[in-house]
Amino acid sequence: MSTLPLSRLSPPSPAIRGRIAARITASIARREREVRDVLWLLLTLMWVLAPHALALPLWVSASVAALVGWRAWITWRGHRLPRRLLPIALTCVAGIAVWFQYRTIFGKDAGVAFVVLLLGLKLLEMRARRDIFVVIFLCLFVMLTSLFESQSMAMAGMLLVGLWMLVTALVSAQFAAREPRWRVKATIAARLVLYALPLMAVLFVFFPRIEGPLWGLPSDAYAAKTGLSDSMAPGSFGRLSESREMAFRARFTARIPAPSERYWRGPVLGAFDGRTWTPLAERARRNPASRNITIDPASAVDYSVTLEPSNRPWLFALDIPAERPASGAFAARVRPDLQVVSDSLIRDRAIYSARSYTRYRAGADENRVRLQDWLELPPSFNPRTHAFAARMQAEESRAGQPANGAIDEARHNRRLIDRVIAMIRSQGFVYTLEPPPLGRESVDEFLFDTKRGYCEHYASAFVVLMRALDIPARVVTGYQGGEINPVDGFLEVRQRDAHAWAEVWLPGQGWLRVDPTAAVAPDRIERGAAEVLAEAQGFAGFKVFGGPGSWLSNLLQKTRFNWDAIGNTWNQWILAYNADRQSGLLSGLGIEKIDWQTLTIALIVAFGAVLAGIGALTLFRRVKSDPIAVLYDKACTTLARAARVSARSSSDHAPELAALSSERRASEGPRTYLARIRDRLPETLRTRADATIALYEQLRYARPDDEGGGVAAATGVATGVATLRARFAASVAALRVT
Amino acid sequence: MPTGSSATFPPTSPGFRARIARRVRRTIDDSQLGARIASKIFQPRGAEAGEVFLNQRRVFILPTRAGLMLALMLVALLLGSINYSLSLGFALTFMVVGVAWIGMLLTFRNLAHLHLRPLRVDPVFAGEPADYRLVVRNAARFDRYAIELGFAGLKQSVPCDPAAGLEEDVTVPVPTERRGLQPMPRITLSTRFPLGLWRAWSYWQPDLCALVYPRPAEPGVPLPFAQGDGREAHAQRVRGSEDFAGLRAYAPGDPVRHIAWRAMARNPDARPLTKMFDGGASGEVWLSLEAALAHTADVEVALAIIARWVLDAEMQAMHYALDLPDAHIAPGRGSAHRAACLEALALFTP
Repeated sequence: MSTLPLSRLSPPSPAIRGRIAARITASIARREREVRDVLWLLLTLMWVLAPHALALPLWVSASVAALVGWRAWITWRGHRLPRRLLPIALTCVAGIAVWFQYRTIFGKDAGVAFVVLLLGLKLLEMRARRDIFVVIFLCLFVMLTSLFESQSMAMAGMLLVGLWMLVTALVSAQFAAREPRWRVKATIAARLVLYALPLMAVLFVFFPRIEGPLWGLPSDAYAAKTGLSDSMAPGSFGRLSESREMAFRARFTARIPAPSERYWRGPVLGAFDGRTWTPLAERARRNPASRNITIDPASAVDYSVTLEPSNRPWLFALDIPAERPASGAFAARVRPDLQVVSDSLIRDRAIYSARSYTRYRAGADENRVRLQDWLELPPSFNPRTHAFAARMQAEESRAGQPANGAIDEARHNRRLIDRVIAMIRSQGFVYTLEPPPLGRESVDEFLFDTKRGYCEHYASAFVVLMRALDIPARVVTGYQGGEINPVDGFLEVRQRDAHAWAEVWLPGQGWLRVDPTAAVAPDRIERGAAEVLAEAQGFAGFKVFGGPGSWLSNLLQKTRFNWDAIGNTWNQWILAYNADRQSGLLSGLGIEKIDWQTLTIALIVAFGAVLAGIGALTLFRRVKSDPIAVLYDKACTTLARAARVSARSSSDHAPELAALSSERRASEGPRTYLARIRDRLPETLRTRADATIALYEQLRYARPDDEGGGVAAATGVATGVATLRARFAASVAALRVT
Repeated sequence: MPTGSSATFPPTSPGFRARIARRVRRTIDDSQLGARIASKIFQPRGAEAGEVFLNQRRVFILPTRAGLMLALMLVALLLGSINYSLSLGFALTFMVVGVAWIGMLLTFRNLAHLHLRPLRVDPVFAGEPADYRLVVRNAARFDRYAIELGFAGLKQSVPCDPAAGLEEDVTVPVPTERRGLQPMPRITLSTRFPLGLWRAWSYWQPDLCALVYPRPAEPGVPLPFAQGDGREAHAQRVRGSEDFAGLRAYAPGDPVRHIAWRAMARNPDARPLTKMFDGGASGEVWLSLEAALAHTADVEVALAIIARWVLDAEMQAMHYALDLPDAHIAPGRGSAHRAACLEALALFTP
């Protein structure tokens, strides 16, 4: 059989022409949609990359911005994408450039830079739908890496918005013929994200947590953090005084110690090289330190601390921690100098609970030889201080009895300490954040010339003077004070609360805390750094709008407290949520044995329950059936039955035929249907059927000026329709009775 | 063309999935148990008359390649979060997991609980695509989008987006090859909406047969006028019948090719007009299988020639009768007559 082109059979029929026209329209629409989709994806990309923009090297940010701009221009102008070779070549160039920047392409920072560049280059190669998926999935990865920068609430909000934008882009790529407006797409995406939130919460709570890291972290995983360091030189605390960054939060179980008791003990420094204090090297100590601690049980303070990551092993405890703090995440120990340290660096927010005693006697039986460590001074530094100490020693010896016996020695030393404190208090010393610079003989210059300094100057000078007076002394660094947040009751200790004070050893009394800063600036100890500094410097606008206590500063403070309390909750429950917290929470829920099997079961049950709930909400929502249509259907079946019954009894027609044809056909309108079966209906029913169908027609088709509409016009449309509907319902019911 | 309800499943689309489907089918074919399981899962039904409701059991769902890619990505995100102890990283990962799961729910919802019913299919000549018209009704309170109707062998599936509470008319063009009744192939309804990470699909064999007329032979075979009927005179008249005689208002049943398209293009708002030709209604011709077999030995080719004669006679406005061994149609003309003749040709069994 010969074939022939179909076009010779007939010219293109209207249907085919319509199909061709539709195809052309569809292709134009598809092109417009592609432009919109790609531009939206680029916008999303920019949003996702924004947190990285400043953290990355300038050239990386600039190149990615250029690539995004290029792609936008290509899309907007409808140009062709560059050949495939170009992105590949550029990828190689990017790899080499990253290597030159970081000397590696692995590791955290280099990896992030490389992935971001890859994402930009992928845009030049984004042709098919599959490529859109790749870009979107890469965006997810970039979102994860932006958490290296910050895990704040603002970042969480940014990620949530970014996720919504990504889902919108994904949804937008799925439409076929009919494409709704952007608002509808955005709503679909928002609903997806919204419904995902409870599922996320369930997974977050129940997913078995494994403590990382799983493999060796790159060396740059934890960048330096602001905070205390393990050495103290003039200026090192002043740097911190501006920082409102949180150091840790503490919650007291029962008694809250007074502000002047809130000395949070950190690194203890005992070695001085003339300028800088550092910890005493362990091997330099000649004898084991005394572990003899007597405490007053009535002065116990119980508390738990949420420590911000510091990349240091130090745990801060109230003076003095007599027992080891307890934590699930690490093992802690109390060193002989009463500093608490962890066995690992604090790289995540850590929570531990501890007990301290504010009244104590520590190291009273310290070995004399060992005490020599706390007396050492560099010989050729600060001659004026040494001379002053010798003079004071001589004066004191002349005034009092010669020192013999431990009690006398203690008394003698106590008098010397009192004289030094009195000197600091009375001889014009000033507590300031901006002390004049000090030269080589830093203690001499501070004590006798400048007399202006910050806590580290006072602690350092005091300890040097004590050692010159032959009294064992050391510098203790840590934090002092903090603010109680009235919203959640947590004590908030910030970096600016960093403090240095001194400890001296007296025979029979052990190590005693002496805070020379308190002598010159008692407010610093009583009221905390925040207020003292605010007064001194017009901090945070307090001075501009009125002093402390004005309504505005109260409002600002209240807002700040609220905000900090929210931040603390965020840290406690979101960021510090780990295996430890998880088991705590689940045992609170009554799950006793917590292992991965229990967790998996709990996870599946909770996930299933939430999913079922969402399913019940979203699935199978049928269109509410139209009551008039239901009534009409009833009327028609009633009429069909009546027609069938009467036709059978009259036996004019074959019963099968009657049964078949008395049902309303899909093609029949109300009037046609009634006309067809009216003759078969019993006489009594006919007029009623007429009325019912007429009512139905009125309900469905009447215009306002029609008779039925007249009712509507007179009584208001809603009532009119309601009346008609009621009459129709009554009429249908009457049909059924008959 | 695969016809009717086969127990095995043709691949749903070319490429990757087809390969997988072939492999699965081969495996299933190899074991009776496999076949039993497959029939339990997919519940092959024959052609279903009337409206079909896609209940939950008829809708299947699996992740797409993009979905599997996302799963890999999620593993990477999870490992990253664990390794760097990123608490918000966990939250982000779980959020994406949640979105993907909700996506599955919504993909399933996009397809399940649809009402399907066959509408009709107009007769076509073999070789032309038969436009099967189906109605997809969405009784739910949400809009559905991007539901694709396709079957094995159809390159491009037909999209359909029934809005909430509405129904949509979908035309699925199916190529035809042989004359006769061609049942609609089994339709695969599938959707990836809204995320493209999941593909839900369902099978439906509508009870709808297309009437396929024989493909008409090439023009040029002369009409079989009766001997001694004055072939010359007829030819004269036939030629005369091609003379344009005027226009009249279009009436239903007028041949499409007689519609004055040009006039319509000039004035699209006016009612369509039909071209009238001179010399109609005077000729009468008997179209029989014997007459066609004079030109060929093959019955199918003979039927094609008769189909061509029917078209020619109708175009020349002649009266024509059909004489087949199993069907005799009295002389007549007009579109209904033409359709009756072509139907007889389509359904003729030698």
